[in-house]
Amino acid sequence: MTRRFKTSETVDFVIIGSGAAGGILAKELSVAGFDVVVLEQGPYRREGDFSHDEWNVIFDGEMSNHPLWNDPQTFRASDAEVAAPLADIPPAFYARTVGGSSVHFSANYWRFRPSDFRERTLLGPMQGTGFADWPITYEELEPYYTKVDWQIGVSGTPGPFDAPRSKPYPMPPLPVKSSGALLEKGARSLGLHPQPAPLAILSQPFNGRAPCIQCGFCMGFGCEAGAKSSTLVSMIPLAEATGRCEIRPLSTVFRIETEASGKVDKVVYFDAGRVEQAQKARAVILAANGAETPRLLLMSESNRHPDGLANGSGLVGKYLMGNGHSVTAAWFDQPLNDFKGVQVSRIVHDFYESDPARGFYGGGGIDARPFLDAMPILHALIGVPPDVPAWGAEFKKFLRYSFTRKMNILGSTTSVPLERNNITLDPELKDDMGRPAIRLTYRDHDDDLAMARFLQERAIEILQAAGAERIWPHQVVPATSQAHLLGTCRMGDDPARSVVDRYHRSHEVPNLFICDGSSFVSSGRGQPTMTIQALAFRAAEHIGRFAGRGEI
Amino acid sequence: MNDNSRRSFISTVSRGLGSGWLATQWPLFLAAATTACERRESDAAYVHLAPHLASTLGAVAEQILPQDDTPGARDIGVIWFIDALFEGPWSGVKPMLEAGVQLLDERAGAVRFADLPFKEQTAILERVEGEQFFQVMRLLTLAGTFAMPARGGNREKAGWSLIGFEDRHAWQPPFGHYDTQLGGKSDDRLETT
Repeated sequence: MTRRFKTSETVDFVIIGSGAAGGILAKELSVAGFDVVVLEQGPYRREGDFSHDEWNVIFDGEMSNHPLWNDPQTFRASDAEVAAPLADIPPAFYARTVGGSSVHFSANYWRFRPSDFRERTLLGPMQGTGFADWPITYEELEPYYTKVDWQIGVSGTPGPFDAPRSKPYPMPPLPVKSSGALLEKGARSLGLHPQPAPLAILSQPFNGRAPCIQCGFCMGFGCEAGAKSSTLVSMIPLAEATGRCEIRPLSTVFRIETEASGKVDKVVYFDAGRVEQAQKARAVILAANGAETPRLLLMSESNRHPDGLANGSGLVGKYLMGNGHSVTAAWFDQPLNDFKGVQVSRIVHDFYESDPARGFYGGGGIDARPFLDAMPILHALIGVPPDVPAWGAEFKKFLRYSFTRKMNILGSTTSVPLERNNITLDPELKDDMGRPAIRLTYRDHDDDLAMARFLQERAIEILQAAGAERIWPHQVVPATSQAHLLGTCRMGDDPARSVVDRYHRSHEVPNLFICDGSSFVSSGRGQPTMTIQALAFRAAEHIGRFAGRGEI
Repeated sequence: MNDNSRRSFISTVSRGLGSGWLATQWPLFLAAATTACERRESDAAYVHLAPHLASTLGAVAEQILPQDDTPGARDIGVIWFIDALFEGPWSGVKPMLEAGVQLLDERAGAVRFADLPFKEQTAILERVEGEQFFQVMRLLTLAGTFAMPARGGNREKAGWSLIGFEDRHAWQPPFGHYDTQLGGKSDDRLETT
């Protein structure tokens, strides 16, 4: 039964964003008995709508474009430059669809370790950065990580460095692929400790959902089998089944309004017909991702909030973190056929912790996967080594050989929080509806690049030990586009140095909550979705409690 | 999917904007592509490409992926793929391609580029391969060869057969040589040290 609320009806919660966090918040709060409207700018695609059309999805950006009009973004490395659009990928790269980026991700799910929450205490300060402890510990978040395992659906087996967990994985890991087997062989021979990759992809039937069919189109595509554990398949249906949750797609928010007492009271958006609507609510939860969330707050400035809604600290949009990356490519003399199956089956976390002996801050994880070479067009475009002819008869011969023999090792690293890295409103460029464009300003800290290069050197060693026929690293350069959008409304106990408190409540606006990647205080080592979702389960519990006690 | 090296390789393309248009036109767009498939098989005329443009782009595509013991880009239907693309915002690159054809004909001299012997065409392209026009043709040729056949190219999945990709979209392990040889513990549980 699809519930429909009137915009003039004051619902308990409006949640902005139906993604990794928004989907969980919608389900938890509607199950708890609250009336919830979820405003999602994307369309409501379902399993039957997902194709493997590489041209449409990857090259035409079917899920990353705004569905109804042009919503461009700009990028600059520093505020000394004028920001401009990037050539072929949005600076803030995410999926606009019900379920958000949890629909198109590769589903790598890494819990943070206890150290991630308190690196400032463990390692000391980093001058000139936003390096800080979280206001919560791993132990406080652990029960919610476990909820993610069992409610979202995560497959895996404990690794050698895992933090304690209160329940086992609900499902065994997915089958190993050739890329994983080679990572394992190379890593073991070097004395490292490879482990199966934890993935939010079902290896068995679970919670009424079917398991993975190994189609090979995880990364960038929606899952037609419902086996990849997006919130679209794991949370949204449960929310709607309560009869108290309305998912309202093609709804693009542009302002959150406050009333005289300073509380938020309605959310203004353009509907599917581009008509302005305003949904009234007792409370608002912003879960639009680490780029869209600060954008909306900055667009919601008023006399009371001249620097943007909830921005008394001045930190809305600041401390943008991604995760650093390195990519190392290789061929082997026999076919891997890594285009089959999920992306990642094995990881190495021996270099997770920061080690002062290296001479720089940072830690990371290593994984093996086909990456962009899982897809025929992309492999043809960029998958052969740079010294192979780029076209012609020789090039064609290489393509025949390379596609089935190719793999990559990715290094994924920490990202130091810097005020100079941020999301702001572009002063010139607007979308077709007059909303200021997202402007992403980002330049990696030197330590992020050093860590990425360190992991690349380890990747080369691993590939050599595994017997690669040919290895070629992709040069580590400062990142431009970011798919992991973190830190821009950070949590903290001090209102002068954070945007939300430890329960994701705005320090200044008592009925405004913010819960998504923007809440992060540190970046982790990659694969942040699992932590975003643990935070969302925890936030939902507390928000529900506050609402139940009339404290909102 | 956040890889700087990917974007440093993928050529700059002046795309028509209006992504919202694409979403609203998607059924028509795919229908156009599917019809392109049918037109290709019945050898009908192109919709958006004048004959000289089509034959020159066909020659360029054939240089990028020439026929050997497998079909070249022309036979695989790359030009049908491009023709179908020009139904939508990608028609924005047509002026660039027309200018590129003009450049190639100028370099060719008395005989048009499309009518030159293969090796002479190669020599001309080697001198212009840095041009944006050529980079766009490379992108479109590879896309037309390896995109799904319903889009007009990759005739009879010849592109996919070339590289060993099979669109079965559901697989069972073992997948490749090394997981067969090295993996294969039941349940894939590693002994962790």
